[in-house]
Amino acid sequence: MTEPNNIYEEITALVDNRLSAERKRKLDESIRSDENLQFEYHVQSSVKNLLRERFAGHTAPVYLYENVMNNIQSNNSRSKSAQAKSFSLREVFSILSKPRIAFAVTAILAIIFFISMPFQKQTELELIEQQSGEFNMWIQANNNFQKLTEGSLSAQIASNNPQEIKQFFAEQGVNYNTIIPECENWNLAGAVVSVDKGSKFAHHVYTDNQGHLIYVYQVSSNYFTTKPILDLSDDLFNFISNGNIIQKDYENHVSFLLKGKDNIFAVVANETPEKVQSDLIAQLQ
Amino acid sequence: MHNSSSKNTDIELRQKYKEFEEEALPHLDALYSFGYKMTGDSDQADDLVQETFLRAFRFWDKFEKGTNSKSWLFSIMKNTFINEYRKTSRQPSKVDYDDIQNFYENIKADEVKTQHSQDDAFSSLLDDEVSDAITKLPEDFRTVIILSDIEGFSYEEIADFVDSPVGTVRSRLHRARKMLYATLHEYGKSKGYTKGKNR
Repeated sequence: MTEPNNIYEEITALVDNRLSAERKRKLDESIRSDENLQFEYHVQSSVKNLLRERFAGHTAPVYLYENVMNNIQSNNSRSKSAQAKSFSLREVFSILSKPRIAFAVTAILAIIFFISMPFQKQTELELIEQQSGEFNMWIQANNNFQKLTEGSLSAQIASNNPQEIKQFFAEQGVNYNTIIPECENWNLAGAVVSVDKGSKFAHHVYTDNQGHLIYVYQVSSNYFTTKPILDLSDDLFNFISNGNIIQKDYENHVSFLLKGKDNIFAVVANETPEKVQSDLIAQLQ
Repeated sequence: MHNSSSKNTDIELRQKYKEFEEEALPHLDALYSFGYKMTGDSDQADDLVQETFLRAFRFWDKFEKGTNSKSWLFSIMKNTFINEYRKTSRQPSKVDYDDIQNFYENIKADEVKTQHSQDDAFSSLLDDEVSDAITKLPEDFRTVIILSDIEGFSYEEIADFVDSPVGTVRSRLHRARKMLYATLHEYGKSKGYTKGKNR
């Protein structure tokens, strides 16, 4: 146990029970006979007691334990999936280096491609069915659209100026480049910035003269490779990263998910899919 | 062969989850508390804790079983804080030690004879006011006082954590408590909980 040279720091060591018995006895005597030392002892012990009484044993929010475990499991499955893909690609390239095998494989792949075309929609539905949880982007987009149409979610800024909305996103802490196209037949109505565990996300809305609504939720695609809270299943993320568009027609609305430039877009509208595709989706790709 | 290897990997992974849950997760409260006091922001503390556990899980194979997992986790959190959060966090306005020292000497003269009234005065302070005063301490001092007085780390554990000698830890802790005392005294005075002449 090293003992301090400075008598005031010795008092700190005394409060923390870090002095030898002999040194403690001598210092106790000194403190009893010196008001300045008494004050120093009072300062050190009262602050220590205050912090211990007020803050020691504070607990984390209840949801944090679950979030940590979910986060670990989802990251682990993402990394496993990436490893598996990389391994199988290596194998495929090695086999395809032989010309006769390459020709045969190409022919088989072409046949499989043509056979599977009619079932493409079914695959999309399966991908959509994999999405679940309150932090899933697809689920959030559909829920938010529902809230917008019910009037329980309203814009934080009302503006028909794309630049003004982009500026609003940046000022509110959205740290990725946002894309806000101007759409023929549609008026930009406003925007919202949401917060999930400190990360800010951009949402904006278009309306037309017949009371239709298009809601756009965009998130940097990099977010999904590094992060965490907001989620999409790996299969779905890979599917749209390859340039595919997910579309699901519901009873009263249609939802799309796609990658455009550097962002992932969820688009939900109570208009026909064809009109949403021609008026907006084409501009996001 | 492939199936058997995959099955083994799944068993190993499940074992890893189990070990991690039993050994690392019990320290979640302490890490959150430290993260919250370091950042002064609950969202940032959440993120810091999650990032810390993610990294810890990634490097779980490197953790020596039977050693101090709490200390190991705190080291990971420190590095995460330094690398990712300290650069981007809004830094609170800091107190200057010389100013504090001057102020401390002033109040010392006044308070020597009335020191016992301070306990009551501090008890009137709100938790947020005390937290705010901690957050305003310079980082080196804040780290030491949180680890010692809130988390209950020994001088040696803190020395290991901040990579400094034990003497430096004791000196920083001494000064940190004085700084915090002076800041809390100032808060108390402004709220009318403590007496004292204005400078």
